Amino acid sequence: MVKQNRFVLLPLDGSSTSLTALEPARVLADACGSSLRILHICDSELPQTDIREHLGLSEDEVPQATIEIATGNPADVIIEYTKTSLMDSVVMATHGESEQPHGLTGPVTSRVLLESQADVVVIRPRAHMEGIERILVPMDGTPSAAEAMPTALNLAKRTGASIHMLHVPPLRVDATLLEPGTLLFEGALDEADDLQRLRDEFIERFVCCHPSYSEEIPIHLEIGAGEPTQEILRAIRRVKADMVVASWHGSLGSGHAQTLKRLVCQSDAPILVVKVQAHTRTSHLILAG
Amino acid sequence: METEMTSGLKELFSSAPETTWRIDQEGFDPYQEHDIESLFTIGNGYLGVRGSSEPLGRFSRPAMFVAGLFSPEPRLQMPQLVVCPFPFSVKLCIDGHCLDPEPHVPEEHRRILDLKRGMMLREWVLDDGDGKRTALRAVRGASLENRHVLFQYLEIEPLNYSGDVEVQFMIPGSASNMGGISHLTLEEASPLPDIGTISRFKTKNDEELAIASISQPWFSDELEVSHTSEGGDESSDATESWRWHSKQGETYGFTRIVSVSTERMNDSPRDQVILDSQEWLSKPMADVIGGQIDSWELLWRDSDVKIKGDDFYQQALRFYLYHMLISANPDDPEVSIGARTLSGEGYNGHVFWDTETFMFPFFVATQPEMARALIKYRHLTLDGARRKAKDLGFEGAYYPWESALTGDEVTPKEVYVEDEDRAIPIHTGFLQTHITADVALAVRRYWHATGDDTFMREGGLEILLETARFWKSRSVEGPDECFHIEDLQGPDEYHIYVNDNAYTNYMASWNVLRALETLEWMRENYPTDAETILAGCEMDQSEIEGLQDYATRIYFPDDPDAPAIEQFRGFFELDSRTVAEHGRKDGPLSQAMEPDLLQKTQILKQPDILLLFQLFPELACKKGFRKNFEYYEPRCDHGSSLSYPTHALLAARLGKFDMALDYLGLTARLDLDDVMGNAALGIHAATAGGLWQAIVFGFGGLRYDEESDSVLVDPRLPDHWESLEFCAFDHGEIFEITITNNPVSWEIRTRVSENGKTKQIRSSSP
Repeated sequence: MVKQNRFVLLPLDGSSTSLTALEPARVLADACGSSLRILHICDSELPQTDIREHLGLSEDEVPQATIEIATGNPADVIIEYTKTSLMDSVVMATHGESEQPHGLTGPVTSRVLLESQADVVVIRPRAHMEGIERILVPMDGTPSAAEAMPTALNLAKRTGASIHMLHVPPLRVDATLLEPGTLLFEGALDEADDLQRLRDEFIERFVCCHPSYSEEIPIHLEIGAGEPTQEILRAIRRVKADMVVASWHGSLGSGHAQTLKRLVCQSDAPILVVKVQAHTRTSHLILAG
Repeated sequence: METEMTSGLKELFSSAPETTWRIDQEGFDPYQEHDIESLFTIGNGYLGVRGSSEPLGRFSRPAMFVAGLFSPEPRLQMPQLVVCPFPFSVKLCIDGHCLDPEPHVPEEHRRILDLKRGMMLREWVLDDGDGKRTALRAVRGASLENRHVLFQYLEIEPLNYSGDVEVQFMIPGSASNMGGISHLTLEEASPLPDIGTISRFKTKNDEELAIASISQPWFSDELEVSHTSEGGDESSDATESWRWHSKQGETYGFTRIVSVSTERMNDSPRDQVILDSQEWLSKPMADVIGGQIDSWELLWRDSDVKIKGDDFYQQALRFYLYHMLISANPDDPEVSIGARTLSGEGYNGHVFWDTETFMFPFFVATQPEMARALIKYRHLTLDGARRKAKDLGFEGAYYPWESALTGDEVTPKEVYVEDEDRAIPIHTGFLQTHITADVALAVRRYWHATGDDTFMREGGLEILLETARFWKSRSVEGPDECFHIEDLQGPDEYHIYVNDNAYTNYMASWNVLRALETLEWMRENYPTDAETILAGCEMDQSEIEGLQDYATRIYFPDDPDAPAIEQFRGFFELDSRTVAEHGRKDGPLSQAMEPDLLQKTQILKQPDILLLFQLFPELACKKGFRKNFEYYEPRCDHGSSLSYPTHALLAARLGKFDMALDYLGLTARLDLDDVMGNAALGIHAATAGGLWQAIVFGFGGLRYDEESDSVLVDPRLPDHWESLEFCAFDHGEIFEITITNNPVSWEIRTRVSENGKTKQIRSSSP
């Protein structure tokens, strides 16, 4: 049986904005030891010889990449691709050719984000990535946010990158609304005695418990305070993060995913979006009344 | 096979008390496991064992803590409560394949914290990965009869297979804290032939910890059983194994006794734990469990509070009372209760003002022997407090903000954050002076409640005089002819290096006045003792007169035009906006504001003035209770967990029931719902005491009136509470107080024990 390689999918529509994703996709594929598969979806057949020119690719750019052409609704085609188990991730620019570069993402990227069965890396026009040495994982102390960790750990394991967690604690709205298993700490003065202990607990609870954790992966933890997006953007610059791996509950509706939306619009680093289910209560205390 | 013993264990599950006497966890969540382990701690004041699973897995943070067993933290050389090996560790092997609980979580999992009987019960199903399923039931407890003894009962039932089963009872050869630091070096992990195993460890201070573990099956004699014990070299587990051929659907049970001791408690801990464990293994389970039930019944007789009409608060209160009761040891005055009890590593196991101010009133009111041990601890550590005062250039005794065994200040001067390679300074060790008066208050309240003149003669007065002396030396006389206490931090930790903190000044004045008053009493009743104590303190009459003069001239804000009592000098010149006016609706403002900016506001972490009113209700009557409450409550952002019960208590006394219940809810749920998000580090012990105070002092209206030297009851119950019952000691008598609602009425009975019977000797009603 011929062993098939894992691949990174790069949908290109021939626009300069979609080409933004080329370099990050190549770097990601190289770092993971995967192949790069470029997918062009168009209305009519194109001769193979014209494809590179049509996509704006020179001959010596990503020579090993395979280029596939498909027809149909772009989002439908890409989503269908994500169903294959060999795909690592889809790497896409936030906007395509015909889409205005405002808002979170264009309609194709948005639909892929919503319906993809693989992780999606979104890249805004000015974002860049030259290698994968440092991965930033934004956390808020909830198990749901930590669900991005297995993806980040696997990526770190394959690329040799270090993981930099940024914990920005949520506001204490109502204890009963807190997700079970949430670990809060703000590094406040009164917690100074326990600060290192809480950091250790944070790493143990959200990193070491995952089977994909290995002691060889360097793990760092920073604590932020304030508006989460700004904290994450500052951390990207501070740690020189090559990529952000962030969890997402799967809704882009009004009032949802505010931090992710702002981040996608402003981040200079590609963002690998890991769609997760909200952590559900698999255990509960029986309290009277 | 169904033996008498196995039916006994099943009966323990079926006879578990009703909901308000227990906390059940159903299911298993790896992310919550460290929090749950804190909540489900069992203990007896000497030992505390987290509620970790018996087969330890990736998700567990198992630990046993031994009261008073500290070892220096490597970097700061500050004593840290030692994380000891988990004593209930069990491994199960089926047909030669040992079951590793990772990465699978247990199925059909249920854990019960039996508050009434002081035990933890657990049942679950393990799958070996090949479809062989085994049901397990376990019961564990820490004996109150012999505080060195832990008991564990285990049942194993192959559900869908027959085969060779091996059970290994282990004492791990190493244990480390959250930072991976191990304070213990294994000295011995040996088999005790035909008996079990013995493990010995040494702390960095060379103190020995000995753990004996022995077990026996409940099998019938006809079953062929192989029994081995083994130990080994460095870091080896001590393991006692039982192997036999088990049949599907049959139940196999074991008794295990673990005995633990340290050199502080025993010259030869090794010999002692072997003797203890052998003696206890020979006891029938019915006797061990029966003894445990009897011991706990006695504790609950005086400590229980009955709330009729609100099961949640009933359950939450019992949960917290249980945790206080498993944290105190009436026989061991060398230790006190750490801020996170013996349930977690938080605050290094150190003792704070949390004990005297928040927990102590509960112990004084319901368990005076435990209270005696706790206050005696402050006498045994008085020399440490004297050293601290001297080191900082003061006189008398300056109690440490954080205390361990000796009474020397053990607050870390900084905390080093490894990942960021930076040290954060900690000022509380020399700024939070009020703890000295908090201790003095506890001395007087203990004496008041128990009438224990012996303690006052043997240590209490000495504490009062030495702390009084400290205050005078810590003060400076100003041009206004008042004494001022400067450069300190009150309970509200958002404001540091303040002058004339009202809480501290009032407490200091009270401390000195009561010291002098007690001295007068001693001179009248025990003149020889009084002179001996004065001679021991090297305190002469002129110093006593100086203290008298000092106490009446300590500055306390008294501006009738001020909106409230000023928390410290200059407080009203700060940004006066409330928390809401800062635009912060949720969570502490400290989350969004740098400390130096916060210091320029009137936002409080916890309310100093209101805390004074909690401690001295008569002061509230004189100084405008409602006005102060309504000024400070909106300015408190509750950055401290200690703040909620204070507000609940005072709001109840003001009849603001909705607000009181809101704060009471946050108090009651603090650990059960992990409101602070850090229950993994242990139970918030002060909150436990705070909840009792909020209910008994706030709603029950119990208060000790300093001026009339009496106990008063002035209850205010929420509409849906049908009745409230509690006990409280005063002047050596225990009162049973029953309050019924709608309309409120109450009865106070004094109970004296006569031939084991309760006799009503006095009754009063409103």
